[in-house]
Amino acid sequence: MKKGSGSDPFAEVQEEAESEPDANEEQAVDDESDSEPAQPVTEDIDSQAESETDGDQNEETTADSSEAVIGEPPQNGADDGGVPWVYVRDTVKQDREMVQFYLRDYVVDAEDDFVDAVSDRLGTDVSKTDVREAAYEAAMHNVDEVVDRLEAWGFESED
Amino acid sequence: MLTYTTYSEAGGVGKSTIGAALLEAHANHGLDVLAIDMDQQNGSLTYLLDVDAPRDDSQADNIVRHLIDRPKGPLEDLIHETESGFDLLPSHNMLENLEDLLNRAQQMADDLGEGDDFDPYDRLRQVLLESSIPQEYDVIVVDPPATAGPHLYNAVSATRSLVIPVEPTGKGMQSVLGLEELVDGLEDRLEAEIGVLAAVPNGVGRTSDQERYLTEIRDRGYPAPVAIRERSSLFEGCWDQQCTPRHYVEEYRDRQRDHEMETLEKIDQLATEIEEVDDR
Repeated sequence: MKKGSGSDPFAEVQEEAESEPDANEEQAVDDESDSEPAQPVTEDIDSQAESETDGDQNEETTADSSEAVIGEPPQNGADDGGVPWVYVRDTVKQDREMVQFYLRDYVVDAEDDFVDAVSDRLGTDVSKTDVREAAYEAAMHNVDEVVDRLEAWGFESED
Repeated sequence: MLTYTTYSEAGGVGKSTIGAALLEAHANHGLDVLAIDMDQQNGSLTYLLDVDAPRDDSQADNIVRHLIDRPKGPLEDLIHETESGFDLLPSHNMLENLEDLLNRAQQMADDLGEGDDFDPYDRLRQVLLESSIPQEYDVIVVDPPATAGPHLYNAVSATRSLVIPVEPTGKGMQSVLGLEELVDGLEDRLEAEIGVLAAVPNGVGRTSDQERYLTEIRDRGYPAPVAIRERSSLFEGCWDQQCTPRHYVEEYRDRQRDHEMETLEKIDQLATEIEEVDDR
């Protein structure tokens, strides 16, 4: 507890008001990013039913020449004797920090289908929160793919 | 944007009365002020300010319906103007079953696969965010009941700052410590920083005692701008006439009593300090 005011509970509102005049559906939920297209998901998070360790890059996607910008997920729980994280944790939000993402409608609209597609492939239901993090992590292993997308949005290099 | 929860562990320390006086002071300073009453008991702001809301009609839209995602209209439509220059989102009897109702709403969300997005302790902040209310007010104050529970958690999550009336007794001072534990737990749970804008010793007898309590609270690192002396006659008068302390003094006292004017000035000073401490 600190002296003075705590953090701003409505930070999103002010940011929203300053930046995006049109988007007034604040999502104050823990929005991890997704926006992956319907393409094979590079799932490398340790959340498969069979405890397979570090199975990353089990799909050939686009030529992914980039250095890995993200390391292995941390070992979760002291009793992590090879037990997958989903079995160690008590709640989906455990060990996770809340991050705000601002997403356009077409991405938000695609989310449920995306979660369903991932669940179908896995053969078990996955929470939106897990899928979001896995998607973001997968994206970090696919920098080229992300760059292509940003270029399609109109970002151009300056040199 | 100034947001805070008035909370004290012990009931009956004039929490709502001081709260109402603070709200009125903010409004007199030219700020747009909203009070949210989450106290279902009769000793709540809604009663004190004589706001006529259908508190026992569960078919009528009310704050709880919004918290459990079963609203009947926009949240803004529930807001009443008070005679004291600020607005009030009134209490409702459904608040008595808030915990149970939130559990059921959580269950419902889980069944629909939306459980990840439903946080029963963060609902008030959520519904405020989904409304236009935060943009329309300079100050939002939530008044929860004097018990730990979902009302308090939602209040703290939505405001993230506290003003704490403290009973000037050993027990009252201890309750500040209890509050620290509670807030630490909430900070972890909500992943937000929670601050104390002011602790207010209330009901202090002698001036020498006031100084002692203020020093003790300040030594703990909390702002304690003023101590309020024992004002049972004034505060009881407020409840009899259903009005704020300033209104009572102006309307129902045949003459201004110096000590009561001093209390009003202190509350005004407290409001000013809170507005200034707020560094957002």
